Amino acid sequence: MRPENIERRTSSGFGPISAAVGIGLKPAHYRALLKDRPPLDFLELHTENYMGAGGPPHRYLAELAELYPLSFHGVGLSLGGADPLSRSHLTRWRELVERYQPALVSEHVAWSSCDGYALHDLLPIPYTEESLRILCEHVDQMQSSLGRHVLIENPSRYLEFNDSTMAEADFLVEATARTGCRLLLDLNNVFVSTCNQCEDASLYLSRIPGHLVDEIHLAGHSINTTDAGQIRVDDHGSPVCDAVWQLYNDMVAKIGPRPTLIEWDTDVPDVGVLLGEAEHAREVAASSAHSSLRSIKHAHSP
Amino acid sequence: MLTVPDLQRSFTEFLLSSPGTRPGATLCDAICEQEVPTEKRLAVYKNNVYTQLNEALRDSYPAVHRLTGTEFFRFAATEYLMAYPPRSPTLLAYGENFPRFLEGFKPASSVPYLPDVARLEQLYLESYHAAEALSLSKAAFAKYLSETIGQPDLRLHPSARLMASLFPVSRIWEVNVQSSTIDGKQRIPGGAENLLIVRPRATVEVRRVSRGAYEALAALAQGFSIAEALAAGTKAAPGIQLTQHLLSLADGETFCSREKTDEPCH
Repeated sequence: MRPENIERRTSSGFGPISAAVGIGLKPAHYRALLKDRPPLDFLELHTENYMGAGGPPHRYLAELAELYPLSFHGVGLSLGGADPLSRSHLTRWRELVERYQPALVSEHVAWSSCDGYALHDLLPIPYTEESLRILCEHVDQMQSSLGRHVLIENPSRYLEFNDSTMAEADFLVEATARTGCRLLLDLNNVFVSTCNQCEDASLYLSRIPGHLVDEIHLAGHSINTTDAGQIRVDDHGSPVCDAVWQLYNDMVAKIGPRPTLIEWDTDVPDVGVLLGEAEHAREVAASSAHSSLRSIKHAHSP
Repeated sequence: MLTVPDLQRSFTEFLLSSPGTRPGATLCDAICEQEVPTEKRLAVYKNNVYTQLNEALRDSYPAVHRLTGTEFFRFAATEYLMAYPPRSPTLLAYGENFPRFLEGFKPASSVPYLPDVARLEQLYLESYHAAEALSLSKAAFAKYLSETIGQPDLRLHPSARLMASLFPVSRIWEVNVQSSTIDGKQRIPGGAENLLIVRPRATVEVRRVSRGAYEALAALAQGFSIAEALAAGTKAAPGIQLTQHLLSLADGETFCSREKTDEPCH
């Protein structure tokens, strides 16, 4: 049995998109997933965690790949970094993609390496023509190395640069136009970033054409209260908050369902908690897609 | 206006500076002023970097963490980060210099076996992630032993690592990773140890081996023939049943032949 809800993407183009729901793969859940085989449409993993030569991570992943389509989500390529992409890192990426043939491949609109140091965080870039040139060159390089289109994800941001000349949403759309890549829209990140910049998440989302979105991420965040005000921190350590579920509902009503992932990376609970969130995403997507269909029908009825 | 390379360089300098260090004016001037001050916003990123790396180190060194306690471990991890800032985009090898760091880390000098416990945990991790390979059966290995000339194709399993310690390091490690109740500072019996760490299948095994077997394995690991390895083992520990020791290790899937290995990933 192999769910086929996600169309396999090739370098030749993108297939139809559906309401697949997945969870982020954590080592603590390997055994439970293999034993219970819950009804998930895909599993997403951080590519860098599978860059060892062998051992249990690959044993489990090979078994899980027999049951579920995979999504490879990179956190270390530093697409927005001024330094050239690491050739050895890109080679490891290519080997993994060749070996496991993931259904989806994605990275971040951020930088994480500089002057040979790997900082292991997704750091912000100014939204300028210079940044756009760097990002697009690196996306091109990633796509040609892997021989397929990739998705790029909007980061969560805790600050903005004076030099930025573009809104983040416009920057992302322009990157897709220049490289042919698509978007992984992280709605929690949109919420966190817009709250932190005192902006309107709905306005942000209204600037993203639905056909560019090939995957949606949902996760929890925390609120860091300082004496000068609040900062929302994207720590992936709690359930998706109501405001983000509302954004998801609105987005699916507007653009239709998309492969949707529940991420949980700190204080990882039992797999059942993630499955509950995934099931909720499935319900929200089904009901909002249904209601949007009804409103379209009403609009067209005589 | 800062160029992207200059901006990222000043950001990096801030992220890798010691925890209390304030961001430089160049970096702060590049960032929009908002209700929550710039320094506090930048601190979120710095905290993310430190937390991520310190947790990765703690996950790699559970026994060292248990022996030193959370607070001391965090202090050591922060000092380590500044001494050996990460250079690989994967976290798998981030802690590889931690045993060496602990050797020279004065605040930990009252625990003389700590660097060896760290070394064992580092070798455990290397073994855990090492390439797969088909191991030789005991019978196939016995053939190698009986024809003791040449055989350059005999080698240790790619996950095999060797370690000698003046302390009962594997016993200290076992107590601190396996037991939830035993006090980590209790007295551990035993003396010097020679260890083979190997993962022939899914699980990493830490095996205590004789001095002779250790020397023979070390010779094989360095590419010497089985005859030379046997000689080295016998010289180190005359009079032991070396072939019996090696045969029992072969039973535990320690050896490979070069033709029979899987192609490693990279």
